[in-house]
Amino acid sequence: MNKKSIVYLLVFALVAVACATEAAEEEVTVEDEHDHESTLEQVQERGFLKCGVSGSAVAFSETQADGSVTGIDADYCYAVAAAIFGDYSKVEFTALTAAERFTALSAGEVDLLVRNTTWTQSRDTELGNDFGPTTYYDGQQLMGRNSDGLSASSTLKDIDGLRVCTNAGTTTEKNITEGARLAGAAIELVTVEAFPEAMEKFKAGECDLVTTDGSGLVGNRAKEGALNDWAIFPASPISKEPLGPVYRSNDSQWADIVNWTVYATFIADEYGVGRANVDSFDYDANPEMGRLMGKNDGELQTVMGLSADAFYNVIKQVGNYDEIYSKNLNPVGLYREGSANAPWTEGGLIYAPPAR
Amino acid sequence: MADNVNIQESPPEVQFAGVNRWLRENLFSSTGSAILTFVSIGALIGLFRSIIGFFISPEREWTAITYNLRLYMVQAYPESDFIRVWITIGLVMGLLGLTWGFNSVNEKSSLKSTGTTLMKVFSSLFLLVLIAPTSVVIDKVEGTVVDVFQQELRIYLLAVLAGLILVSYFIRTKLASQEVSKDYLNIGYVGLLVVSIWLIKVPTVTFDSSNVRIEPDPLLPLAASTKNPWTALYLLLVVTFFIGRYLNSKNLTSFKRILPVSWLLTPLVVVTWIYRKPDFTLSQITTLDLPVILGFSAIGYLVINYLNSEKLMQYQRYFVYGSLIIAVVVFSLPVLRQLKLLFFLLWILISVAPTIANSKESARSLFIVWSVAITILILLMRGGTSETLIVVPGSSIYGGFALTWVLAFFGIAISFPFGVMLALGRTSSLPIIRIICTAIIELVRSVPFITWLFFGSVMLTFFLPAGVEFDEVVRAVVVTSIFSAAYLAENVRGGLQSISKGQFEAADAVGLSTLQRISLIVMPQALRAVIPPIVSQVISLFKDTSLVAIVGLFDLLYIGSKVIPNQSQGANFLGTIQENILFCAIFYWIFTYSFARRSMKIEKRLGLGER
Repeated sequence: MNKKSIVYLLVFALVAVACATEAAEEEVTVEDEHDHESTLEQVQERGFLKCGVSGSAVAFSETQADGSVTGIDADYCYAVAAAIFGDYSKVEFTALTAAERFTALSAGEVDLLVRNTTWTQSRDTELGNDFGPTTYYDGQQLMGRNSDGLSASSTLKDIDGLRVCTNAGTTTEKNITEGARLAGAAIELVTVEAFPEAMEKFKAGECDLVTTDGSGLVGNRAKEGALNDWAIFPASPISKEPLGPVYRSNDSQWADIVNWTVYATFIADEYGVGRANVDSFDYDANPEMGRLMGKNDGELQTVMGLSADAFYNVIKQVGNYDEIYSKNLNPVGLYREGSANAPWTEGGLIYAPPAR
Repeated sequence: MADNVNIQESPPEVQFAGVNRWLRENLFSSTGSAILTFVSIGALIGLFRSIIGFFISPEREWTAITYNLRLYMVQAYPESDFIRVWITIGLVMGLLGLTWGFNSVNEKSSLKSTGTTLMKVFSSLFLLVLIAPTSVVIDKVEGTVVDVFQQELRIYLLAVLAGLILVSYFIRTKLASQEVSKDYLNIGYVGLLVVSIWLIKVPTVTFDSSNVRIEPDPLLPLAASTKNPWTALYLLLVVTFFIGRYLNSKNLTSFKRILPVSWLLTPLVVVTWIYRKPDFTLSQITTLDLPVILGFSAIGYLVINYLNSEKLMQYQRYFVYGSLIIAVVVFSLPVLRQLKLLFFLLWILISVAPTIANSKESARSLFIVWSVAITILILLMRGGTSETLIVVPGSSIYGGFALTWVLAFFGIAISFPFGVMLALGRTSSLPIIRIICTAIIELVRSVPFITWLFFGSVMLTFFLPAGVEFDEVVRAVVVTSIFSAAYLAENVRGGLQSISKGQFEAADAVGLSTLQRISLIVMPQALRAVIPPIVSQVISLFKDTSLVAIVGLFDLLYIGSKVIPNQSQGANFLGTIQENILFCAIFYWIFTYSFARRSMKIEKRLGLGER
């Protein structure tokens, strides 16, 4: 090979690489600064909602055999996606542990955190988070055997001298210790690492009572088929555990979207509008529902940055509060009647401001 | 061969002196030992009875595992793309068959030992069936007892097993002189497994048209939906085994080099192209990748053929520095990642080409290696950097065993060379390298693995510039391999210290360069000496992958311990934690035990521990 061909080869190489670089220009995306963008803009640009859930919490966010995510928490992620995109499936779930959930939210790894998280003052004020409307009112209760003379109407006074199993080092342990002391009951505390162990000990008769959040107790009682053998008490729980969505502070547009998505499910429940009758409902007779579903002009939704029929999509694709609740929580034996999760008209706490 | 006498050194067979004498000598030699024998037999029977009772108790829901096998294996990977999973397994099976066939030494095994093995297995099963409990207690407080094992079934099973024992006894005594190839025996054993997934029927969770679980669960074959692919894969394994053996008989030495490379390349192809399903257009390959490949091949050709000409040789140093500067500049520019990488590779090529390509043949083979390597690299990067078309509800397409596999394989593959380099660096005589390597090893080892995983998952976002994001799995792989490399480095350093100074001096005396001394004299001996701790490290890495659950990735164990016991929708598997944990334990055991067995074979082949 002579000098000429070397030069040709070199020129060819440079031209080829230059061509590739030219063609690559659109591929190399210079990342925009996302700092000043609102959460809604980020989500819309990305095309899907990043939602932080547990992925392994009974009835709240379960992973099914085919890998899909279900549960009341998951359904509220689907609902927010339906409100933003008109397509409930535009959600990417991130499974978060209890320890990393708030860090993941503030680092921007998720847009919304719906991970059976209790709303407390410190979490609300110290961690840079805001809490949305409570979607499930939970509370710590105890479960004991009817054969020990316990019933649903028992109180903390009745547990005097009994052995209580609970997981160590949690607020659950603190609550029961404080509660028993206030009631003047002397209890023997048996602490274990995790709640399933406490349940095993209870079944084996190594303790007389177990305690955790009421939803967990009901689920376990249903699982063991011991509805008539085990009693859950006291009727008003010994702690307040309001669970709901969490988002980053200082983004009121995003907060409004999440809050009103939740409220829309409450209001639709109030009027009895569900997945089945959302199309056939008489909106002219009920102007509030009409406004919410975008049947008139939907201005209320458009000023929030959503489409006029945003909440129509929520009800159509995900359902109202009662449907979400029944689908996920009835199978584990949790019913709305008589609980704090009943509608406000029936003595519960599920209440939404009017849509007007 | 003329003197084909086949003298096999085998130890003289110990004559079996009769059951009675053996019993008297070993179990009933005195009154005390007789009592001890009876007590321990009683205790063993009790133990096995309760273990069997645990397994067959009606409280156990083994359907929780069979119903969730898909979740266990690939988590949410969509069903429409399952063909990609099967292709992945097929590639591994094919390679496995080729390697097995190619390395087959055609070992013969007498049917006597096979018969003995079968007899042992069937006799143990016979004993287990014999002592299995008829009923179990399901409620310890109430003391409820349920019948679980009918007498008729027991007698039926015992009769079948007794027949099988007789058959194996017949094989052991009458056909003892027959010899079969060990490979065929193993193929037969795997074949039995495949037949069993067609024949053995188990209760399977099924739903009717209105999504209500059909009770009681109908009996379906063990792998009702996957028996066809598994059978096809088995046939593939058998076919590739014979291909491998054929290639071996042809004495293809080049194939010997291709096999290890394919074992390394296959996982890369799987994660970038097959499992990932990248979103790319053909025009991207023709207008972007092809010019880059051709251009860099041309540059490589020039470098290889003309850089060592006499005229340019004197400027070699400037070329090396110049190309390094170009590489660094290109790296900081917003250009394709492919180009950034290629300029670095070019720098390496310019540094090594003049010494390697000193003859016409070596220049040609170096050019071929260069072109093939950059072609593969560019195509892998095209797949790996494109968006994936796989839609899953979670943030990662990897879950379950697929995730465990990816973490374990890449963790081992990356940490091994990295660990060796750290070990060499720590024993280096250059102070800067020594200090850096020592610092890395000590820093990584002094912080718990979980903390590093947290760091990679949650805190890395704060340190990286805005917009730079890594996939969660990539972060976990990086953390796992760095962590494992630090421990591996110390293992390898132990091996390095076991080599006597004379070896180094001898290498110097015959005039080997540093690189040759390390790769030809030091490393082969050092690594040989530390195979047991390295295998331990591999096993512990494999099990440590379960810790990624802490950063929200669903690995095999997390699915078993947390996800399935919390399923209340569809089929209710709430609280099925014992079954699932047991399944995971068995699953891990199969893999770790195979590693251990494999390493024992390697040690045997290298004659370790016999010096």
